[in-house]
Amino acid sequence: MSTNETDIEALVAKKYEHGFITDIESETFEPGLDENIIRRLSKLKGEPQFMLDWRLKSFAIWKKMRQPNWAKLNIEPIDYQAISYYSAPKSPDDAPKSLDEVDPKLLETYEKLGIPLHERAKLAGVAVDAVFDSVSVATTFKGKLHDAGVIFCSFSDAVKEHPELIEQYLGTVVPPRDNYFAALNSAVFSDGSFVYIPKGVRCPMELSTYFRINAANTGQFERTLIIAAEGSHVSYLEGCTAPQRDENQLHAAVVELITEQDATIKYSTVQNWYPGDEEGKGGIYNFVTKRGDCRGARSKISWTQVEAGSAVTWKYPSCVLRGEDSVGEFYSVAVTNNYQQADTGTKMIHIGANTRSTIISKGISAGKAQNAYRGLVKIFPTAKNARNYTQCDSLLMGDQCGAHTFPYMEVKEPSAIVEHEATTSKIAEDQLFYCRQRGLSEEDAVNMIVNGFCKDVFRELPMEFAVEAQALMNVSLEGAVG
Amino acid sequence: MNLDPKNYRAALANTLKQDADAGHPEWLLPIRNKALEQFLKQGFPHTKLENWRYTNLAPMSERSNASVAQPVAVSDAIVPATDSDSLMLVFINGMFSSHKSSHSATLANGVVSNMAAQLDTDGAEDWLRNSGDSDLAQLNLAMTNDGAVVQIPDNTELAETIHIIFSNTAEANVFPRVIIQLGRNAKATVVEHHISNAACVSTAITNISCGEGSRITYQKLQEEHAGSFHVAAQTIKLAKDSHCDIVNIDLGAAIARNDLRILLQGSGAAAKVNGLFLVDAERHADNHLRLEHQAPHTRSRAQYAGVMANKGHGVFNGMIHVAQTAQKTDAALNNKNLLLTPGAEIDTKPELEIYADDVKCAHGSTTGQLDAVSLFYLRSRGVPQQIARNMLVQAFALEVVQQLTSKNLREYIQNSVEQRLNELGAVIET
Repeated sequence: MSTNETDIEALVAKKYEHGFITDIESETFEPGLDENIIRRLSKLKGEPQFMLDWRLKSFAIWKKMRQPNWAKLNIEPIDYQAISYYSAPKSPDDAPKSLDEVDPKLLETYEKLGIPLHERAKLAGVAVDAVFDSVSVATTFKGKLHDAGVIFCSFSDAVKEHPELIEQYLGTVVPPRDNYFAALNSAVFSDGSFVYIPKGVRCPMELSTYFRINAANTGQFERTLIIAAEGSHVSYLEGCTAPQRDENQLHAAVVELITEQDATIKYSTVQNWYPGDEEGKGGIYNFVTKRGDCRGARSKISWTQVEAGSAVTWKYPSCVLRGEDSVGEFYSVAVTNNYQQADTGTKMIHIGANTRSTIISKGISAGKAQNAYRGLVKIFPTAKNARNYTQCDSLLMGDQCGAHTFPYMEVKEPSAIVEHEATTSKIAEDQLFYCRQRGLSEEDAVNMIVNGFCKDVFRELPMEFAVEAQALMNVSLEGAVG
Repeated sequence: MNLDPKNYRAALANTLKQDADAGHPEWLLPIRNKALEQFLKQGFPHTKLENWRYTNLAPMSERSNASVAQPVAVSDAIVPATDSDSLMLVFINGMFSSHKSSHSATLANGVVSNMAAQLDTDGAEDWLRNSGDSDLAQLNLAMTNDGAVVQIPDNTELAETIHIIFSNTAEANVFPRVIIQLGRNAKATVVEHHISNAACVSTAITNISCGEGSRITYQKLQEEHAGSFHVAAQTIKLAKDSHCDIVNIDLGAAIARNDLRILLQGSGAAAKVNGLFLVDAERHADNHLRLEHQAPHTRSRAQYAGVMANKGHGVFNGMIHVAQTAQKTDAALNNKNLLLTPGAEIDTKPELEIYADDVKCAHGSTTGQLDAVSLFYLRSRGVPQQIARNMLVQAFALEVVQQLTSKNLREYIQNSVEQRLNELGAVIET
């Protein structure tokens, strides 16, 4: 289409070339993975013995496992011995000193996404001490959280300061043997976030990884643990819409959520890692295990995700609905363009009586991308009157891409009602014509239709995220329709 | 489950001897040998395979192992009612029964016959070689004694229904084979009916090819004995502008598995499928449907209904696959299930795999109980709870039975479905 768009796509790639500078630092481990590396990592992070034991146990499990190949993904073999499993935070000397030094094209994208000024610097990788706004905001927020009794810190800090909580909860939702990538993560996870919301507390603000200064480099093996005690409530935002600087190719994160009685966790993700270039070269492999455990009665876990980046996405945020009357929700938009591949979906495991789940999944596939929804709804005989509603819609743009739906439904309880519907279609000519006729450019018309298609999911996002997510869709799909 | 190759080789030797005695052509020997070796290499499918995730064939392979080499005794067969004007081909324990079959095949240039009688015609080799890629196709190829061949020439319409009956009266291993070939603009109605009064092991393969503009109505009925194992696969190839109308009803067997694969290969091809599986007692029924849209402007509609009760375990897997070339595909698939009692289970997976953009594809699946509103409607008109429930369950199941074209057959199946549901009526009262 227009040169303008081609420009932007080129920019995206260019930005990343900029971000992918390899700097050999003394604090980066040599590639390879064995017990010694894990011991070194654990020692470097000053972890207690139980943590090291847990890592080693996970590593033993991982060695016996094989990389799964059931997903509808075409992945180049990964050499796990060619990866460095620890890289110290980037030296501030390499980072740009101010926004003036940042690639103007990158700033243009931020402008398009409508990202607030003070966040742009941080996202562009400007050395943290240069970003005064962000620091002060973060400090104010930390004070507020402390007053409410909320623990929100990096995983490393939590291991040191709250070892009893970590020991009690870590791996209880996603045990190391759960799957290949979870085992790998358990052995070598670098850092992540830890959240504990005490009984009866409603977290005074949305927790977002933006404003976190204590985990500057969360690294490729992120581990997140969120515990909502009885009657508490928290909304957690992960990632951001802006293309991010990142030098790691393989990401294997684990997120564990636990809700006690009457507690609610709302977990929103926007993922926009580097998707590779137009020929499908490079790009992040994103293998994520996310699971929430509704342990208490009337508890609720809600996942909302906008997946726009990564060359390969393998991700199934799930809910184990154990408590009676507990609720699980999954709202997802997955956009794939060029050679991106996504195999994503959810699992809703109904164990308790009167448990309910809703799954809304929107897949958009353009270019030569493959986009699959894979989900499981399982109703145990104990889940009397369980209810599930699933809707998966796919939108195809171009005749080279694919959209797939693989929903599993296993029902063992006659009083349960499980409904699934899925559709696949393209943007209708008459819709486009209608918009064009009213003076909208073709691009604006497509954007409007796509945003309408995703509305059910965007509505679930926190406000400021929702606005950015819409802009992100437009940027991600630029050039896809012509 | 380890196979005992000795038993299978003995059974093959027996089959080959029969071939020789019957004077069957020589090309049979190498392809049978090769097929058996291939089967022995891969064995029975197991639950680690995605396609067999919910269906464990271990009991079948055990029985097959023990009995495959045993000769079959013939006793009285049950032959279901059929319309008087239909052409019957009856096979008892795998062998063609000439005197039970009707001989009115006055078809000019066409063939309605048992397969064994046709093996020396041109093209017979292809019937067997093209066994399809279902998991037990090679076993069937190695062992099949007989089956039905239906060939309808170009521009010919067969008025009579062809009723192919595989009736099993002994605990035998049978390997029925059905070949149906329709010429250009030909039209035919074929019923493939499996019925038994003894616990048999049946591995059936059906291949249907439809020429340009042809119309096939194909109805498969499965009423095997409650101790039987029935694994069947059908491949249907549709050329340009040809249509198929399919009914698939699964009522019997301890473990039943049906793989129905429809390839829409020419533009304008259309497929309509209606399925019913009634799974009570400790039965297990697994229905796989694969609709492969390979050409533009193709259309498919599929609807499966499942009724599960007691310890019945139903499985449904329906895939709509649209190739990149199959623009303007219009496909819809729906699976609805009723779980009537605790202990019953349904595992359903409607899938879409789409590589073309200008398509309209949808699938849906529902699992639940009877619709409370409908129930209330009947109750408000003075219908007692139990009767109201029965009415709704029967309506749910009989919707598919109504699609059967042969009047006698329809009534016969309807009676047996109603009877089964009435027996369940007492159990499902809540």
